[in-house]
Parts: sequence; structure tokens; C-alpha cells
Amino acid sequence: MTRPFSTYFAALLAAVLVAGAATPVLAQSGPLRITIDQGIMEPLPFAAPGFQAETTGSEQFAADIARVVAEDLAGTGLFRQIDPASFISAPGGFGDQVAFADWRAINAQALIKGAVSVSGGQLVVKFRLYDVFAGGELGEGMQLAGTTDGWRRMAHKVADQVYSRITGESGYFDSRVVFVSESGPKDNRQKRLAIMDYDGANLQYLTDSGSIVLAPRFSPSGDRVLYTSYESGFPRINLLDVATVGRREIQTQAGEMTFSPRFSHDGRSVIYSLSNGGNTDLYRTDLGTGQSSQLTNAPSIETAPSLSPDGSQIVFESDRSGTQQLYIMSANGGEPRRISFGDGRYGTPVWSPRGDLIAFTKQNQGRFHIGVMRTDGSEERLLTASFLDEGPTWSPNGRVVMFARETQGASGASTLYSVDVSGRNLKQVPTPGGASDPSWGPLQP
Amino acid sequence: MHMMTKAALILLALSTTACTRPDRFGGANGGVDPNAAGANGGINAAPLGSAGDPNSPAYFSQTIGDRVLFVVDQSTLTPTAMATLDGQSQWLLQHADYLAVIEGHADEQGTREYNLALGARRANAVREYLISKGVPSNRLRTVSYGKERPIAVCSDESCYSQNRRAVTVISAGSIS
Amino acid sequence: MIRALFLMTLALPLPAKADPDWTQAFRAKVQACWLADPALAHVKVVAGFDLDTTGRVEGDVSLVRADGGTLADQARAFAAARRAVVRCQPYLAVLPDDQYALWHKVELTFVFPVTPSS
Repeated sequence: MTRPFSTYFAALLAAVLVAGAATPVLAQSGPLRITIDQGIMEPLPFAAPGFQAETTGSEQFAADIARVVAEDLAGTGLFRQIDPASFISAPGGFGDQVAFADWRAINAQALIKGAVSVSGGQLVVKFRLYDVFAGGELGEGMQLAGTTDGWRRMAHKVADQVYSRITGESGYFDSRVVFVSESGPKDNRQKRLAIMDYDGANLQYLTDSGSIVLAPRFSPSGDRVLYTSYESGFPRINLLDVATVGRREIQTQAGEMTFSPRFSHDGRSVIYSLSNGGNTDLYRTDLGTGQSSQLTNAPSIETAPSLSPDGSQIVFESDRSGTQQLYIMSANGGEPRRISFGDGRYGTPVWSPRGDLIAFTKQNQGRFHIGVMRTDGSEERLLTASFLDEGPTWSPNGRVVMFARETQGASGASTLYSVDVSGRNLKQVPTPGGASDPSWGPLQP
Repeated sequence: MHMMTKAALILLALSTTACTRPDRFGGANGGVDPNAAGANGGINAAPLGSAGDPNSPAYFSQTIGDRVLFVVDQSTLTPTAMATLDGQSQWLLQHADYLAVIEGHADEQGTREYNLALGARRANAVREYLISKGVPSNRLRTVSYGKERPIAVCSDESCYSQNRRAVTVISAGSIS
Repeated sequence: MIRALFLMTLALPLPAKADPDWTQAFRAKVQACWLADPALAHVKVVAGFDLDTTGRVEGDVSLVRADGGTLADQARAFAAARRAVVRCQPYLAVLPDDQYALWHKVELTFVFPVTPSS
């Protein structure tokens, strides 16, 4: 995959080297050195002057797509849309020359232009992205085609392109979240699996509320979901096909209770917890052959496993030290090493898709936090604090963490939140009722 | 829980008869255990099936006490819990046609999957205690609900202490 | 005790040269144009550039050094630093025009702030 921004960045560096060599040294001493550490904590301003409707009947799509693109970008907290009322020049047609000076004057760093046409049930979306201060196009113009009912996904794809060209990392807008939808009072809560776009749109229920369902997890390709269900009367691991909504209990190593299932990085095995006689250990079962192996063997609770993106290691929680803490071991088992050493208890570790961080739930002094640390346990940072935050899941690009926050008291309810890995841009993810146990799927193809 | 001590004393008085009876289960058809009924004759004059009828499940859950409570993040049985379980084991020994599912629960102050495992530990602590008192292991199953089924909904210790529990749910019938 | 401290203070060498006011003004001017992306906490980039006698950037801005974050983070951090430098020029208004030799070459270290937990 090409990285337009990186290419641009490299070209820029090359130009600098040539310019630097040609400049005679005039100064007597070294350069003036100043440290700057108080910037404006402000998102990058962009202008998105609407998408042009190129055919009759495409006006609504053009407006909706432009709106979703802007919402995606502004929703990251890293970008801010400039009020169109402050535009100096008319955006002009999709192919027209851009009057960069006019956009610079209103401090637009990026300019997004787009056009939409509809023919039959087919929708075509085109866009171009400009680096206003560089005075040129950032990457090349792009065209997306699909059916009209997929307009939201096309908007997300445009926003993902803009995001990745400006930031140099992949986006996360064209992705879905599977979670547990909750309704009813705290002592009679009804739970069912649901799936939705990352921004809460296109919600669909996957199970009914006849039995408790817990902690769903997407397969690496997003086509299947593993979760814990009480349908049999006892907690058992179930596998659900997202497209057909067909589901079945999977055959694991025999035990009184199986739960906390996660896919292996290749999607072929399930790693999970199994309880027998009150003791909980981690196991792995091949979904194809049914062959099982035991990964931990300790008289303590071992649960909440998460594989490293390369599949070589597992981070999990264990109370073998007396309290819940995080450990890492080889994906085949073996001696684990503890990585969490701060105050309080640590649980639900989730390895970042980038591989560099582990997100977790921390309990300390009656409060819950979502935090991140390096994979060796260093540089712990708490991103949130509340009465009850738990169960982080990473955006496909490892930039954002989504989790469930439950409010206090008899009328307490759980809803989903997301937060930037820097701890900023905390916001609620809209769901029709209560929601918990989110699992963020991959970018869709 | 305040009724428990008294209930336990009554059952201790009855226990001699109960213990002489061989531990049978399997093939029971939900009828009233004649031995147990005889042993209790004359002590209670309550409608059948009510909490005052020592042969009734209601008596088990309300008079003996169907639940034991745990301290935070622990699955160790307290002396009070053991007294309740002594009562449960006596009743189960006297009523061999009953099966029990022990439900383990946790309060909301914990992560979901850890609490499931903690609930399993609590349920198992109760199961092992009942087995140690002679209740056959295959009449006892466990299930953990973690923090999914609170009975008290406030967010302070007065509710948490009720939710950190293991509940012995009895049912008549053969073991599947 | 106070006297002893006082004597010790006297014994310490004086700073070679105090920060002149204009470096503060220069810093403030660049700072006002810098969009410090909150996602880049822990990243530090040093941007080097030359200024002409009117206080405009001569040639382009170069990345002297970068620390922290991923390579992509560093690239973004440098892009933001470069934008700040370019956007706020010219700088002559805050620089002493009779001391061009002192500010002809500039290296600005941008330390992306670590945001506190919410």
C-alpha cells in the first residue's frame, strides 16, 4: 500500500537537504535554540465545502456523504471543520483550480472536495484532498463506486482516506462494533448481541434476550463472533456467523463452565477460560479439528486472554499473586511474566493492533480506569476514571479505545464510550438502550 | 440470616435419624421422603409446601437459608456460612430425591469475566463443603453468574454484601 | 545559614547570557501558530530552518531530531511544527534586526504536551 503523506513527507525532506547545502553559513555561533511546549491544544482545521451533486437525484446523497465525512473527521478530536460561513471563495467545480490563498486566509490546513453521481441504483463518489499551506494535492483524486444503500460506508471510506493521508496512519471509520445490548432494570437485565457501525449507525440485533450473553469478540476478518451464552443453562462458548446470524455452541475441552473466548490471530482457534472445581485456566481449541491444549496450569483464576497481533504471545489476567494482575506468556503456554506493578488491580488486557500498547481495566481505591501501558508494563497511563469503566477494545488502527461505562446506584446503566489513546476526546457512542462489552472489528474491505 | 442459627439447631437435633439413611438419589420421582417426613412428625404443624413444612423447598430456602455470603474478592466460607451449609447438607441428606444447583455470584465491583471465575470459586466452595458433609457429589452442580444477577441494586456495601453470595437452588428430580 | 547560602550563590558563575526578551517574543509568536495535536503526547521534534533578513523562512524547514511515539507520530509532529513555523512568518517584528547573526539559523524544539488523565 502506498502512503501518499509519507511520500510527500520524504520529498519534503529531500528538498530541505538540497536547500540546506546551498545556503552559506553566515552565523558566527550555533543556531538560535528555543524550546516550545505550549502549543494551541486545537484540532487541525479543515474545509469541506459540500460535495457536488453531478446528477439529478444525487443531491441528498451528496449532502449526507459530505456530512458523514465531516462527522468522522471532527469526531476524532484531531480535526475541526471550518464553518462554511467563513469561506472566502466559492468551492468551485470538482475539477476547478483551487484558490489556495483564500483557504489559507481562513486558516484551513486541509481542503476536501467531492462529487457524487447516481445512476440506477449505482452511486459514484469522487474526492480530492488538498494541503492548503503546501499549495497542492495530498495524494491523488479517488473514485468509489457502489450501490446507493452503501452510501454510509462510502462516506466512511472517503474519511478513512483523508485521515490516513494527513496522519500517515490508517483510519478506522469503515468498521463495525459488536456488543451486548442491555435493557431492563439492574436486577432483571436483558441482554442480547448487537452489531453496528463504529458510529452507532445501522444497528442490528444478532440474538434475542432469552438468555444471558456476554463479552462477544470479532474474528480477525470480522465475519464471525465468539461469545459466552447461557442458552444451555450454563456458560458456554458460542460461535456466530455475522452474515447468516447462524450460531452454535462450540466443542471445547470438557468443563463446568467455558467463557472469555478470543480468536487466535489466524481465526482458526479459540483461546478461552475453562472452570472446573472452582479453578479457572486458559485453554486453546482448534475450531476445525476440535483438538484442545491447556495453556496455563495454576490454582488461580486465569482469564481474559488477548493475543499479540503477530500471534506469538498472550497477555491475560491472573490472581496468582493474590490480586488480579496482567501477565504475558508464549501463545503455546509456558511460564508467564507479570507486567503490571502499579497500585490496585488490573484486568481485561487487550493488545493493541499496532502491537506497542496494552489497554486494560484498572481498579484502585474504589474507582475504575481504562489505561494503556507498553508491553513490558512501562509508561502506564490512565485514560479515564469513573465509578465503573471496563472492557477496552481498540480501533483497527490502535488510535482509539472503546469501553463500557456503568453509572452508579439502583438506576445505574451501562453505555459505550470512546477515548483517544492520549486520554482526550472522551465521548459517548450512541446506542438505542444500554450497552456493554464492545468489540471493535477490523476495517472492512 | 438471623433465622439460621435456630434452624441449624433444630436440624442438628434431627440429624441422627437422617444420617442412618443410605444416600440415595437417582430414580427419585419427586415424592416426599418418608424417612424425613417421619423424623419431623409432630414438630411442625404447618401447611404442606410452606416454609413451615420442613420437607418443603420453601423451608430449605427460607428457614434453613439457601444462601451464604462472602467478603470482598474471597471465596472462603465464614463460620456463619458453614453453619448455614450444615443445615443445607442435613436437609439434602434427608431429602435424597432433591438435586441442587449452586449459583455463585459477585458484586458489581469487578470486571465481568473475572467475576464469572470468582462466582465459580464461591459456588465450588459451597459444593465442596456440602460434599464434605456427606452430600453425594453428583447431586450437586455449580453455575456462576458473576455480576450478572444482583439481587440488591444499590451501589454501596449494604447491597454488595448481599450480592456476594452462593445460592443453593434445589429441584426435585433425577440427575441428568 | 542565610549568609552561607548567600556566599555560595555569589560563588556560582553567572549565566553566560540571560534569555533576551526577543527570544520570548519569538517563542510566543510561533507557539500561537502551533496546533499541538493532543494525540502526539510524548513526541518531541526539533525543527531547523534559516531566516532571511526580513524574518522569512529561507528554503524549507528540516527535521533535525525526533523522539518518542511511532515514526508516523513523528512525521505528524514534524508536519505540525513545520506548519506553525511557516504560518507565523515573517518574524522580523519580534526579532532585533541589528542582530541577524543570532537568529539567522534557528532550531525550535517542539515538545508535545502530555495531557493529564480526565
